[in-house]
Amino acid sequence: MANVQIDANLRYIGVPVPRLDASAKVTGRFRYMSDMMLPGALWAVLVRSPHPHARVLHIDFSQALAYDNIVAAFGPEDVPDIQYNTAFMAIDIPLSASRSVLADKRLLATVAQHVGDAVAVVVASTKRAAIEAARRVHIEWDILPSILDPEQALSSGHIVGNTAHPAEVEELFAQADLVVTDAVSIPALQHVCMETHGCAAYFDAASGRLTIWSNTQAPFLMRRLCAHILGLSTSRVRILKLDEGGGFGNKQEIYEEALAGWLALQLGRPVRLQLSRAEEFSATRSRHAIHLNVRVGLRQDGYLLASDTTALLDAGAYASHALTVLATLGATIRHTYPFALHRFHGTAVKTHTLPGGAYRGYGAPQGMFAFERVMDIAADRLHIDSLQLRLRNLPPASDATSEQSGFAHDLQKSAHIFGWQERARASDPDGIVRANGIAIAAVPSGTFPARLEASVASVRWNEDGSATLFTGTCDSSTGSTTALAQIVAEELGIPVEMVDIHEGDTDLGVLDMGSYAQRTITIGGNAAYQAAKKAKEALFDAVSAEYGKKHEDLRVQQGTICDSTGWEINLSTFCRQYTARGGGLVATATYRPQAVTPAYSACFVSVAVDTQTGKVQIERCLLLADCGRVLNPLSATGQIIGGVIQGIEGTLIGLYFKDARGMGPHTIREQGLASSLDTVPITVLFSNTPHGNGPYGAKGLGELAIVPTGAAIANAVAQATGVAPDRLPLRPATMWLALQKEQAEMS
Amino acid sequence: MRGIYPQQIWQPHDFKDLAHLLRERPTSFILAGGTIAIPSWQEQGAPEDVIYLPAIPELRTYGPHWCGAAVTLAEIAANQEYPPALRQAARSIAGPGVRNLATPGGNISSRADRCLAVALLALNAWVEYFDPHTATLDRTTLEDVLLHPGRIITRVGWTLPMKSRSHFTRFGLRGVSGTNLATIAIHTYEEANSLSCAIAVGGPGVRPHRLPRAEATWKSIPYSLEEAARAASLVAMDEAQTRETVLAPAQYLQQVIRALVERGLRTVAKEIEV
Repeated sequence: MANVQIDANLRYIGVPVPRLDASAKVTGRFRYMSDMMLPGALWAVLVRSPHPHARVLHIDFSQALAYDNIVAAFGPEDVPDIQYNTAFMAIDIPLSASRSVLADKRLLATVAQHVGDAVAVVVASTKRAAIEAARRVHIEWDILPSILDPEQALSSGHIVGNTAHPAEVEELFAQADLVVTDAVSIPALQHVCMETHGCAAYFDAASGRLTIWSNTQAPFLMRRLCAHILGLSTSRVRILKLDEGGGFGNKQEIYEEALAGWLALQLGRPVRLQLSRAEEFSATRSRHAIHLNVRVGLRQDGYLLASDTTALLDAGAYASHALTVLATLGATIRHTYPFALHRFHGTAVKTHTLPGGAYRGYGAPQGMFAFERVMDIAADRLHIDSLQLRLRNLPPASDATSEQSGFAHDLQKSAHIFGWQERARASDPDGIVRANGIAIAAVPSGTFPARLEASVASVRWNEDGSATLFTGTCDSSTGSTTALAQIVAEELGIPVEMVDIHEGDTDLGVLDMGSYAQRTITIGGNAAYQAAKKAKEALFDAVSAEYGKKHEDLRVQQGTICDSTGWEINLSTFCRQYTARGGGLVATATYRPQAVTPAYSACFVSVAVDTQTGKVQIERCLLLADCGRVLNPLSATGQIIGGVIQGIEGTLIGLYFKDARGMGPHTIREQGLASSLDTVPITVLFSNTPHGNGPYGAKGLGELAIVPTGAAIANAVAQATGVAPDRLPLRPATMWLALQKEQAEMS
Repeated sequence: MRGIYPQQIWQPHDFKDLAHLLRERPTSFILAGGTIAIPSWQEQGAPEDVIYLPAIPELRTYGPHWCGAAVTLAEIAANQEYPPALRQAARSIAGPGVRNLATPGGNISSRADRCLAVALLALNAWVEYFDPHTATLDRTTLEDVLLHPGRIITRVGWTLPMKSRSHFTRFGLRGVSGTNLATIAIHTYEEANSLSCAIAVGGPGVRPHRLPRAEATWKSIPYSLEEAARAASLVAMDEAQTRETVLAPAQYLQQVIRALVERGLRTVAKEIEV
């Protein structure tokens, strides 16, 4: 385990290269979607339902159209009547009953499915006019009965679908010395990205092509779906992704991109649309609320034999990612404890509330919260130390056949650094009690075995000896662009500054699914690595042909191409001469993973609970990340710290309280949001062990930290107070009431 | 239908200008830092006419025992001459961006948490206000302004007695900023050769108020300051007004106030003993 030693054989890999966009971002020069200038653009603003479930009977646009600078207004009858899944799923599936459950969204709804569902759109020449006119649209509603509670949805058959991983576990439960069950409810949570969703569209009548700008995390999937909705050939649609101010999964979905495209086609002018913060809360996505029941069976020595997990997921008003989130949740448990037999059954139901969607971790934080809580309860009942219980269920460090074996070794070392043995419960005269907690997780890098899981990249040598990477991946504000530049620079033997990255443009001739599931480095990075490798081969082929040098002796070094005899030629001179003669030095590679590549993490926390006020304070935290070789320790540490803080937010701060209309928080203040003021001392340790599948042995790390953090905090709180948290967030009043209840029961 | 933007924003240069504007447009909305009012316009619609008070230079001035109503919270938090409770209260509000705009005038006049008003109340603050009918400046107590809101505040001030010590605590979801559950301010000082204390309490939906019974209890306990703190905190628990919500029941809020008052009094007691 290292933190992080640089490999002397590598020049740019493992080096803390500052993010390429750092200077522009911190000086305010970086251009986000909301900074975009599009001359002559119209502004579109949506009219949204104030009711959780209501049919549009009549829309009166007269007052809106009378407002200054209004260009047009449209209702659901005016726009294409196409049903689609907002998470880009089921596009190719023929129309059927099962498809209509997944493909359940229309550009504008005739029957609003939740508060905030869009039913009309107003277009004006200024944003202000569009906002004011939208307020003047009068809608006559037929208010329908609404289902806001997932249990009610389940009993009334409002089911999106089921995800199951069957296994014959009952025999193992019968053999177990201890069987523990626990139930946990994890509420929804909004992502609260710094930048709201936005898009713009422009139709070029001359070429017949539609260009859509979006701060999406998945430009290629966006192109496919927009073309499908608008009835255009994919080649007629170009998506240009603008780097978003935070994604966390919330921009892994189509919102108004197709509608903006349709408006641009109809009106013959560019159209822009940017959601307000209120719309972010009422009309985008949240983390799914999930109720979980977990049963585990263990031997006396702490060995986990079997588990049985059932999950009820509230999909909200639209199916979106619901079923795949459930599948990921179940798979995470299996990856984390691979020696046991696991049964999983999840059901997703529809309610008339804000739809759930992708949220950093994609169901894994909710699943591992429940599972790691029950494992801690089991450790207590078996009188086994929580750390030792985890170690007993990981392959021993000596097991060379398992890639998880190194993780067990690092886990022990991390515990020593954290001071795990000094975990004795302690209290002080002010009623502050302290204890430590731990949780572990395994999170796959990428979406294998998903059918579309692949990435395409091209690397081109330029005339001056620099290189350009064209990648299908995109940076979701994570710093992945810098890591990709490091991969290409390392492989080509040129400085990072000489690598230019082009990404997020569907016209680049490459392909990718998007920036999510901590796949950008493992999948996109592999494609970039292989393209760079092929580009280097192409360069050496050209040099061999030109100068009769042995291909295998050649290398690029300090701006020259040289061999072992001392022969050398200036890299830029060669590239200039070669390209001047019409030679092209470009290589393309496609990477398709052949197996799941899990990354591992463990979170240790020390908490102080104020028993007089119920306030939980995290005093320190250590996060161990086994993400293979660390390509860039600077940005990797940033990703881990960000993940821990987001985990703290979901556990202690973020409150998703539904009102009588099923509407969650209206403002950032209502939900609560972790900020720099909530940071705690966080020690980040990396295993830094190269993994066979990744580029230079790297694996994904974007979701590693958030997954175990919540459970580690809850376990520490339970150790400190004896109160078992069964719902989140552990806000002071909730915690205090639980402490009072516990005290009353004890007395 | 009200839009989300005002039709006119007026910037008076002095009190004469202000009086003139109020005569011409008596229904104008008086805006201070705007950190509470402007976001609310997105939902409720904006007033047609707005008078931007910080445009009057005098309101942005300050002295060792007073500050203009349009001085920013950031300036108050940074002023080492001001009592600790006042600086702590200013520092506890929102983040730096908001503190660079928000003002004591806005804090006292708003219906939000009014943390600064809690601290000022414990400091027995006075308030200077502009009377639009006579176009003159008058002065009253902060308690009076809180009981009878709607005045155009121009200045707040306080007098620090001998051996003054103060302490402010905001209890919320986090140490700084975020949703607030309760605030308390403690001020101890020498009065007629004995030690007196002022305890003020506030919170969401609660008008900042003093706790005279708890203050009297603290003064009446002849034993140790620790015991006095405990006794006063138990009285404070009953005396303090709280507004319960689904998220924070009254029983819990009372317990929080008890703990905060006891800890606050113990903090100042330790300073006194030192």
